[in-house]
Amino acid sequence: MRTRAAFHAVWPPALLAAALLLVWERAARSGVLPAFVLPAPSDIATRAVEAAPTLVPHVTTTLTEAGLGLLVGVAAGGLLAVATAASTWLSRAVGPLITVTQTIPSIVLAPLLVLWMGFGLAPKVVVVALTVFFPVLVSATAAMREADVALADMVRGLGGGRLRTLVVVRVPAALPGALAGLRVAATYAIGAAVVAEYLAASSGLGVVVQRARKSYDVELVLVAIAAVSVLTALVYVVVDLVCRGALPWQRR
Amino acid sequence: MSSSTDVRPARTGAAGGAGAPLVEVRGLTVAFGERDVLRGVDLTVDDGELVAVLGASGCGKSTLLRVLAGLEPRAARVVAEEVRVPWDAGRRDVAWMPQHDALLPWRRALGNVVLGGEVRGLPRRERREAATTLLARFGLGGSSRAWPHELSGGMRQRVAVARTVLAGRRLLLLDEPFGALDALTRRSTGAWLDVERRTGGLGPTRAVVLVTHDVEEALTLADRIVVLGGSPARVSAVVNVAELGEGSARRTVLAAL
Repeated sequence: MRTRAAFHAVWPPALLAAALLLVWERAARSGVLPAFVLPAPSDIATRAVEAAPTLVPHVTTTLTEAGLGLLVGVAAGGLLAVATAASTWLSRAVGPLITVTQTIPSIVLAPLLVLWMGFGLAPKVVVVALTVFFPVLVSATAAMREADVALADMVRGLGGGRLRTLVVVRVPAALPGALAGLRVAATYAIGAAVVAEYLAASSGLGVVVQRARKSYDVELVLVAIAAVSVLTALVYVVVDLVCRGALPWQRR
Repeated sequence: MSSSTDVRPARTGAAGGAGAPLVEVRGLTVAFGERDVLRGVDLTVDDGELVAVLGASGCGKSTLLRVLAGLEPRAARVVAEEVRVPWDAGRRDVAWMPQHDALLPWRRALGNVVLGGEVRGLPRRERREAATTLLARFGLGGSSRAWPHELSGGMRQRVAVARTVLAGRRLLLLDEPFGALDALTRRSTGAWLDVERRTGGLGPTRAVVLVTHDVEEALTLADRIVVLGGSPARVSAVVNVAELGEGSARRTVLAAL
């Protein structure tokens, strides 16, 4: 029964995707648009296989930037969420400032970061971290605020203090929320790294896109875009697995 | 949100204070906003007693317990001539158990019981051992690795009692401990609590205040029943079950309700 349900969930989108690819293939082959503007999917696929070996170091760079950025962003967002939960004064002081700074999209800061930190990994890691930081902070803070009052009362009723309540109730209660924020953030990570690479970098998928664009190599641009998509899916799956592992009580 | 409470250590800290009550409340009035929930309530609990606070749902019984546990004033305005609860080393020597078991979903049964020891400041090994012993005694030795959602209502309640006992306080405050259970489980869990109390299963507990709306539960478990009634609620009767016997006590309680 379950495989049948899965089959019914899969075949309509698969069919539609195949149809769209077919239309694209036909349109490209018909010669309405020159091949350097709209290459056929089959050509892109062939090109992807050819270019794969040269893409590997770029993929590694982008993945490293995104991974490090995620770690830094999650750590910073999580720690700040706990700190503001522990201190009302801190949350009053920091909260509005953080919200105001979010009016600056982190990617807009990239040129400045390149100026300060050079062309290496560092500015990209920071851009990814800044992108990830906010959703994690917001969802963790909200989850901690909504942490079950009944559980907090229980700890107080046993004779536990504020700090005990924070450690025993509010932080664990915030974990699912924070991880939900992380899942959202994870989908931005690769994209943020790639856009940061557009500006100044010697390696990475962003570099591949820029170089290919300058030489009107639309095929390679599309190959890089496909790689970004696959990497984003990969990062999401890994993050999702980590999240499930971190919440054993929610497994059934 | 104004509040004025007068909560001072009870004199029962001294071992020589034989006969001095563990809890002494006089003239307690609690209001939410403009509405008085409790007005002029008196309550004493002697060493070794189990006192049931009996009343209809929503009459303010739980609020009374929350005041004793130190959880109010928060939303409520609390005024009293006197509220004395046992103290130990500068803090309330009181453990409160909420209406719903309030087990931490992210801890296994054993971890939830261990929490009581954490709050009391027991070293890690000691609290684990004490929690394991207590769970085994409460017939849950085989479930110590289970998550709360894997336990039945009665088992969860026993885990919650174990946690509260491990906090090692002299006064135990139980708010409708069996209220969420079905009638059959409620009766067996009540009987179980009675046995544990009489055979030392409740550890250092010296006295218990149990809030309930179930007359039979109060009659079978309590030494004394304090009946709350009216709105705002006052004490409408204090019934000594031990002295009157169950039949006579039942008539008095029902008349007062």
